[in-house]
Amino acid sequence: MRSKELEIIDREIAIELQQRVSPNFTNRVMGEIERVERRHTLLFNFVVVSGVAAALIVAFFLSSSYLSPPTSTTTLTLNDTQIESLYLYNFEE
Amino acid sequence: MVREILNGDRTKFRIIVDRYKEQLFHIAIGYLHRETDAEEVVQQAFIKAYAQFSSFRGESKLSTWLYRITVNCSLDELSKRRRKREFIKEAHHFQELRENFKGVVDQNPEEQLLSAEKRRLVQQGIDALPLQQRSSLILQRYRGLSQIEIAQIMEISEGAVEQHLFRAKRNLKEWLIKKGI
Repeated sequence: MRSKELEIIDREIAIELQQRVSPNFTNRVMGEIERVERRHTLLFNFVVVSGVAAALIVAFFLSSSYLSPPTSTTTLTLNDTQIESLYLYNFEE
Repeated sequence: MVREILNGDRTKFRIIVDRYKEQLFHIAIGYLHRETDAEEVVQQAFIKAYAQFSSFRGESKLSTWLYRITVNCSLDELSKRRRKREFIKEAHHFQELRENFKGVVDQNPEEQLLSAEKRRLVQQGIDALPLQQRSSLILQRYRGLSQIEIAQIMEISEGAVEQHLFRAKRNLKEWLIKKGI
């Protein structure tokens, strides 16, 4: 036999269950899903674009800050005429 | 249908929303007792389900999977609410009473107040139950699910569900007796 208390519980729950979802609920859910998807796409695009931009900026700064390393030897560039002159100096003396 | 949804066919998901909205709403009402909150939670549950649709392996029924998501969303909402409960305690009480008037329009004001107060006590009794007892009771009484289905949703054994239900009813009964109903 069911107790008085359980009957009260079932009756109150039954009254609560008379509530219904609002008529435009499905449209609201689908609209929200669309909005979330669009936001995710925008976010994804933003991340890709900012990633490429960051890579370009880093590349630019790295290339402009590059200095050729100083060498300990000094080179002397001579053309043929100069070689001939040297020859004259060296051998005529 | 699952494959079509995974391919981005939202119209198929609309069919699922239409088919399950009332069922999920009744579960959420069991936890939250307020129409607007329950709708909000069911909306979140559907959005989560859509985002995680690829994780649905078809090992259980779609309804079981959706019910589990709704239970989790409801519990998340309750824990959020618990954090700010102290600030809204009084406002909440009057809001609950007002919401509870909705089902008793054919009674005189005094009867309405008594009935609303009785419903509020039943709701408080349900809310005071330990988590697993509460979930078992809500899935059985608000959704009419069998113990096997409840066990699948809660991922516990059928015997455990039976025990939770037995204890939930006993505790709720004791609560109502203590409150003089």
